[in-house]
Amino acid sequence: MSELLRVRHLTTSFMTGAGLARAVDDVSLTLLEGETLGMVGESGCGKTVTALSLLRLVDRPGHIAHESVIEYQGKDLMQMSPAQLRQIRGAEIAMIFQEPTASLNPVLTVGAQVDEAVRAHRSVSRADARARTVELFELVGIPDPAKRVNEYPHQLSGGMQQRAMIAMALSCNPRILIADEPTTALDVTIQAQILELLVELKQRLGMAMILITHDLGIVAGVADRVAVMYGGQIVEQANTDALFRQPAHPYTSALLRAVPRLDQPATRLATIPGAVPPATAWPPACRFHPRCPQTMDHCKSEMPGLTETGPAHLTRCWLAEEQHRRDA
Amino acid sequence: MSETLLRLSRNRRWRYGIALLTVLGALAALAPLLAPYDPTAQLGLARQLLPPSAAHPFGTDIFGRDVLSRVIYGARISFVIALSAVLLSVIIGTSVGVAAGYGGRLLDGALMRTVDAALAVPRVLLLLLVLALWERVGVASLIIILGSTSWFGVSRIVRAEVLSVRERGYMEAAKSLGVGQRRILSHHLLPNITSPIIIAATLGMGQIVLIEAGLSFLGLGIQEPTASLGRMMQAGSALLVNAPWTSIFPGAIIVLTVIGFSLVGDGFRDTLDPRTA
Amino acid sequence: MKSVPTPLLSVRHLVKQYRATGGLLSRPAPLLAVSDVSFDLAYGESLGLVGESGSGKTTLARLILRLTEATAGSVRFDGIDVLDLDARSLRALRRRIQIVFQDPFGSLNPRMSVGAAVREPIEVHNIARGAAAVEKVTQLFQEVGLDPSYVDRYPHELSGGQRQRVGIARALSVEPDLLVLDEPVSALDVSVQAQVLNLLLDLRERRGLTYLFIAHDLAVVRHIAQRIIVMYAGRFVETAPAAQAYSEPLHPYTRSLLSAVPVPDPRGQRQRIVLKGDMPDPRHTPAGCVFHPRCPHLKKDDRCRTEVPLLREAAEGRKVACHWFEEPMTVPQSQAARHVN
Repeated sequence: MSELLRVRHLTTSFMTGAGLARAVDDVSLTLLEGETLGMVGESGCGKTVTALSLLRLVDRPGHIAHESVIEYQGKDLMQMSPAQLRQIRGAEIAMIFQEPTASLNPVLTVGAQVDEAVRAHRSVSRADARARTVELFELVGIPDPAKRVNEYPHQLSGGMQQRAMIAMALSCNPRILIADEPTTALDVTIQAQILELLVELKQRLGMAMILITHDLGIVAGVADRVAVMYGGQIVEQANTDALFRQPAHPYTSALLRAVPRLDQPATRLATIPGAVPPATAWPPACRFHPRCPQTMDHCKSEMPGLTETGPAHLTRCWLAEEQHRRDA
Repeated sequence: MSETLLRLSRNRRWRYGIALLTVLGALAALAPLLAPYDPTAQLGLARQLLPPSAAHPFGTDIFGRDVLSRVIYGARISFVIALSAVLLSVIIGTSVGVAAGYGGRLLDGALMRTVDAALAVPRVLLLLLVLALWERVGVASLIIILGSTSWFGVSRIVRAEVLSVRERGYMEAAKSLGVGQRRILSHHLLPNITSPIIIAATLGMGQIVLIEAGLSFLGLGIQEPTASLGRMMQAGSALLVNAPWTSIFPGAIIVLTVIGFSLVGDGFRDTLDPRTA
Repeated sequence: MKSVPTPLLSVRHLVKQYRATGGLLSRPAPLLAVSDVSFDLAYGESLGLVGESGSGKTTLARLILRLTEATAGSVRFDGIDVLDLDARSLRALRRRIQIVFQDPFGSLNPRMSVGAAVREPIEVHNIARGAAAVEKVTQLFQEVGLDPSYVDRYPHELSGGQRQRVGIARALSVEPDLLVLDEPVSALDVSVQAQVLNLLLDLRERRGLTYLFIAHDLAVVRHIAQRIIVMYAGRFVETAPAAQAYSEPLHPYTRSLLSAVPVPDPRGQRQRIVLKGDMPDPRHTPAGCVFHPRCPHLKKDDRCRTEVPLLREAAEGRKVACHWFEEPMTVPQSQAARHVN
């Protein structure tokens, strides 16, 4: 499979009242054609800013460092003019968000909003755009699409609103769909519907997907590969199976033990002490060291790099690196 | 609280406004020390309508009184009236607003329709009506009249804020903890509606200064010989060409005071109101 | 005769119907948020109330606490008729029933230090005053794992987990018997959620508290509850001891709900039942079984569409509201999706 998206040293910072926040710090990742990359992490770890940065949707006071590289099919988005960027956004790389209610304009019909997305990248007549919208609604499983296009957002349930958002994102057959917590605001049974829909659409349309979520259960079921974020950095990246079977980073394994789950006895949960620090005050050296159960002196003095600790398995941890060296 | 002060001090308008009001406020507060003459003393025929000079920096008026001294005392009265009247209007407005917002639909309807009716009458007309009933207007009666006719807006702002705050989680939390109604009002509701009250009060100060000056200009406010900025302007207006200092200086003080309160009020609004911050 | 211990909380035929509100063009229809529910909660028990949004679980909690007035039915707490109390007795009762809210930030007064927030109920109920009250706040902070030096901080200076600990300390300050926990961990991150869940487990053990734990997350409830009630569209559809509810759910809704919870194990992906459609509009609940339009049970028939299934005894301590729960629930192929990796 060929590389669709190649990101190198992506760094996004925000100037805040409390100082400079490096929300995304030197993130490198690759997305292959047709694959699903899961990005997991708790709130404040930089997932959403990473997603927005990929489309250069970060506004002041945010700033993407110039040395960042975001290559889509060999073309660097960082070097593009605003007009060139618009050709990519929506048409090649589309995005859906957590809150469909907030992303939809309450005074326009959902159909009109999808029409707009269709017409943004193609010069088609209103009637053709509407025909495409109805087709898209059908594609995302909205029942009675010809009638639903004329309804306003508040007339749709949360699940239907998210389907409408997906229809909008798919309007130009994008190659990449970035889904930022697409099911977090939804109920469990509706979440299952939307996840099923995303997986099905991805296969049918041959898209690649970046799925951002805090829910390890969702990535386990949907993603081919997973990147775990903490403190604005990727701390571990591996194939889904390897990551869940043999987590190498202490944060990943601690997170897995802290999740309440149905498939194991209801024992007392393992916890991670403390909370995610704010982006203005990342701890020095390894960012996880103040909460890590296996902190060594080295962790407090020097930041570990993202190194190979297994086949296609990258980990940002001194201990994992050392163990891998010993095993080899 | 110190954080709020820090944010306020970063607001340029607020800083300028506070500086201006501090100077004017000091002038008013220290009037007896700063005024070179007795503001009502007629210094004699020879000193009538003197232009500004070293002895009388703002000149003298037609009765031979020192304009600087009268302006300082006039500012003092303006401040006292504005502060007291606004305090009165905030007390009435907050009480009515809280009662309307928290007291149930019937009370809310009754109070707000009354306020709507009061707001429908032009302010000056309302004042003229009330003043017509008074025989002789002193400082105290003016404060009562101004204060009791300027709370309508405050009550509406407070009511809107109460309606929003009463739905917050902590109000329900306090209720579920068994906290009494009175304590919920004083400890949970009121502290969370102070910002819009402060904003309304500051902006109201400037308005009252203007209205008081306007009434005095019409001869309905403070009576001679007490120094009042509006009255001084009215007396000076006839002499605008020959002795402009008699009206320009009191006018300038009025303008500066109003600007000062507007700047501070805007500053408060920018920093305290979460909807615009 | 075997003496049955009186329950701490006893709810009978509780109904909450909101008055009809019509839109500009739509005809007004009454909204039935909670529809004739009954249950008991024993001393020291931990009961989980599970449902999706719109199921009526939060309304039910509010009715019990009388934060919302019920339309019909009764709530007895330790023999006291809760719905009949005047304002004064109600305030006294609130010493014994406490609630922890979902949003720890919204439920704390931003203008009050967290220490003052915890001290307020102690003083309001005359439990302690002055230095003794301060001492008690310190103890409570320690008990919930908060540094007592935080008493002078304001809610915005704390993290989400710390705020929820303040919320718990405040609820405990009046030494309640029953703690209603309304989605207490759903606003928290995974790592912090585990901390708070463990704290709740410890507190129950140490203080012998009774819990009514409300949540949409079945995996979370499983760690806390001994018994669960599943709600759907204002009704109870299943009640069972937790172990059985999770291992062999009987109601088609419970089964679908359980199968829809994502499992954090790529090799442990199960057969999923993906329900069609949404929860019914509470103003237009379907006739018969409220779940029938979405029900994947193959036996579904006209009876489901016309006759409301009663909550009936399925086994010792288990009740199910389904005409067909005895039948094995085979699912149509189209609705069962094996999740692909």
